[in-house]
Amino acid sequence: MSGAKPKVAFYWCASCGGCEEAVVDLAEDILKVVEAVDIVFWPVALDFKKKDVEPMEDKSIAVSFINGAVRLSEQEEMVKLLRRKSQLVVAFGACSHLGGIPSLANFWNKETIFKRAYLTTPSTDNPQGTVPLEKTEAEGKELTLPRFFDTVFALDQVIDVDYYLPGYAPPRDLIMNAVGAILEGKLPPKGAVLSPNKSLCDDCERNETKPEKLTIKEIKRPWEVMLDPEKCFLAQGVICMGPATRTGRGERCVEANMPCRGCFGPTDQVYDQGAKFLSAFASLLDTNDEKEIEKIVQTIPDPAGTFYRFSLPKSILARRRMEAIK
Amino acid sequence: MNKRITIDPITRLEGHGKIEIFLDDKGDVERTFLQVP
Repeated sequence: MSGAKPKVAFYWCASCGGCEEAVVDLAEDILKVVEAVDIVFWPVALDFKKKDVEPMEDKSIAVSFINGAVRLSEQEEMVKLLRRKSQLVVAFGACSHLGGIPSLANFWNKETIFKRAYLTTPSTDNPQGTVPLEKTEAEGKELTLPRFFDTVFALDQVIDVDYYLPGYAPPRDLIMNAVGAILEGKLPPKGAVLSPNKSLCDDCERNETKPEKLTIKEIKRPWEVMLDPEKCFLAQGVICMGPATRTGRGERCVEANMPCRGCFGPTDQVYDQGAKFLSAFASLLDTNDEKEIEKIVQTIPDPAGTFYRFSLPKSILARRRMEAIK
Repeated sequence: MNKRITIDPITRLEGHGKIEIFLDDKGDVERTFLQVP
């Protein structure tokens, strides 16, 4: 009986686990999913291993939902295996869609990350200076770990991706819509991001209060001000990525009085979300005086991490040139 | 003969980590390692 159901796989790469939670957060809807499909691989919840996937026939899995960025050789091997076995691959969530927060590591490389994480943080006690090795020997036993890449990749920089479910994590409505569309075969053209192609500001109730020009002289972080729950965040001097970000979140963040951080990535017309935001932001500044502009920009903490929080590998920047900081 | 048993990944630990179990000649557990890649 169950053999007739389409087979579905879930896999995670460099991620926080929030995308797995998003699947669980489908609550009773997950029963509808399980009724309609056979889950053949899901490391967080089911005991199937790589060796169970390997003998499957190519293209025998209807769809693989893969979350997380790719930063380890093990993840690269697994996503290539799942690509071969699957008719469709859906990049599930911001980190597989665009690189996400793990990809901010592309401002560094393996060497500098290992040095910081395993040697120089104030809380580290590591007198032997041990760092993770691909091969090591402990008490005469050989142990292995996957290779850690210098650069973190979005999923489509490693394998061919059919669709993208955006978000950090994708909201329930979009997941159910995507699952429904796949089961009914009512899919948009390959490569589509499964959320409306317009900016968050277009859907935002606060849009009417967005000013033509900002009159503020410094940028504040959300915790530094009492935010007006009805007024455009940019008008309040708080960075909101809404102008450069795709809609579809159900405005959950904005309704909770938190500005958009950009997790849905740009609309189809835009390649570089950070550059798009900077362009929108620059046109809002109410001054032509270069020194004044510089003064305002100086009040933005961590500009690269703010404007490229989710999309660094899928931007013109892509990564830092490490030779430039040596 | 010495034997090695690998559990990778450990589903019951949120699907992360692997366990390497080394058995001795008698088939008893000699040494176990938990690694989290």
